[in-house]
Formats: sequence, C-alpha cells, structure tokens
Amino acid sequence: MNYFLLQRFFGLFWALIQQICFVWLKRTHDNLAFEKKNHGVFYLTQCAIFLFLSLLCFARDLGFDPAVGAASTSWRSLYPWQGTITVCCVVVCAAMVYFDAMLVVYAHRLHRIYRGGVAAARKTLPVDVAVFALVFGFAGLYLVGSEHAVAALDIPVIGYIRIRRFFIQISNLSYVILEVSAACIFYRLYREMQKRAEVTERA
Amino acid sequence: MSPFFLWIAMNFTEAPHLFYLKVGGILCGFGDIAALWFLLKVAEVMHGKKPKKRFAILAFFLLINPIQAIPGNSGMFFVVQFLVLGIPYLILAYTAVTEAPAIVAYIKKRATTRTRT
Repeated sequence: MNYFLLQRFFGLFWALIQQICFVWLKRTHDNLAFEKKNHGVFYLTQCAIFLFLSLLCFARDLGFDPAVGAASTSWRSLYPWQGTITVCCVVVCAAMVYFDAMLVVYAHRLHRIYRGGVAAARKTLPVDVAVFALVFGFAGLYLVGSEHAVAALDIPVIGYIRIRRFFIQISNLSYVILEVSAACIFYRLYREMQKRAEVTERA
Repeated sequence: MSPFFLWIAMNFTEAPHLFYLKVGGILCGFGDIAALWFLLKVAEVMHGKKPKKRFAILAFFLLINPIQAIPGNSGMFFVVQFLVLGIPYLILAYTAVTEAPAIVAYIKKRATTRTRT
C-alpha cells in the first residue's frame, strides 16, 4: 500500500479522535464555567477545520496540488510533489499536537473547577490563542527554515525526506509529553474525587 | 539553521527514523492508555460502578502495545500502530462524549452541596 496514503489516512484518524475529545472537554468546561448551552458556532468551526485538513491531505487526488501550484515561485522550486507531502505532514502533525495540547489545557481547567468551584474558572481565550500561536508558529518556522536550507544547500531529495521525518519525530515527542500530562491530570482528579467520595460515605 | 538541517539530511537515515518511531509509538501508547484508564476511573467514581468491558479491552491493548517494536519498515509500523491504538482511541472518544454530561452534573452537584454546607 502507498506509504503516503497510509500516513495521511492514519494522521487524519488520530487528529479526528483528538479533535472530538478536545471539543467535548471544551463543551463540558464551558457548560460548567459559563453556563453556556449553545455551541453551534464552535462545532461548525471545528467541522470546517477538519474538512480543511482532509482537503489538504487529499488535494492532489482531487486535482489540486498546492505545492506544484507554487513551484514557479521562489518559495518552492524543488521537488514539488515532496513539497505537497511536507506541507500536509507539517499541518496535520501540528493540528494533532494542537488538539492534544488543548485537551490537556481543558482537562487542567476542569480539574481546577472541580477543586475550586465555578469561581475558579478564568478567561480562556488568551491561553487558547497562545497555544495555537506556539504550535503553528513553531511548525511554520520549521517549514520555512527547512525550505530555505534545502534551497541554499542543494540537499538531495532523500535529505529533504529526512528533514520532514525529523519534524514528525519532534511532534511524536510532543504527543508523549502531552499524553503523560493528561494521564497525570486525570489521575489527580480521580484521587481527589475518590477521597471526597469516601468522606461523603463516612458522613 | 542551515548546518542543523544539513546534519539532519545527512544523518537521520531510515534506521534511526524507524527506531524513534517505534519508541515514540510505544511511549505514546502507554501514555494514551494511562490517560484513558484514569478517565475511566473518574467515570467509575461518578457512577459508582466499574465499566468492566472497557477496562478489559484497555488491559488487552496495554499488553500488546510493545508489538509496535516488531515492524521492519515505517509503512508496516503505521498499520501495526493503528491496530494497537485504534480501538483505545475510539474508546477514548466514546468515553469523552458519553461522560461529558455526567461530569457537568457531578461537579455541579458537588458545588451545590458545598454551598449548602
């Protein structure tokens, strides 16, 4: 089976699951913290984001290749098809890291509300924007930096593939850190809930 | 930055790539399953009963998680990773979706009890 097809298919699957978890955690948080009932705009935005990711991944199969389209520009003059794969990988990996990071952020917020009550809820927008800027800023810098390096150093195509794979390893490391953080937060929440449940039972 | 990217282009060959993919995949699997395990524990405290089937499925996938070290190429690795982590991920999504209303109700109830006391 085609390697890139597998990569795209599985990448989208992991991203979708992480996005669902993030959406439901945010929904739970907003219901608790702001008594918010209508999440229509948020759901639509998330659907649009996933549709964008899917279209980007299968753009070439649908007859539109963004990197080949930009091949005549200075930004991307080498290996147009490899450029498409790189753009897909970087965007999908960054999206997965972003959803995972937001999952951790919202799990932490829920834990804080559990400990301190609704009064412990704070403004969410600044941190949400900061996480987005941090993840996609780093991904963008890596993409631009590697493209410049490839153009300047005349790296062969195998080297270009290795640079992309290195980015995937960095994102894998981020997932491990984020998953362990999520596990720690859920563990602490579980321990506190268990202790309180025991106290209530005794009373 | 160029020397850094040149170093990657020269040294990050298929062998280290596959090795780090496997290590990352196994660690990620343990992390994911641990997160889901404690989320199920939270559900257990909320409902007062254990979601036994989900725990049993998770325990099985926790045991087979190290088979991610077997594949000989990265294409095969993606397939094995999907087989090992696909179902735990679906359980994670299912748990997040179904337990969300219960979490809201549980925390609200607790807040009300605290206000009364």
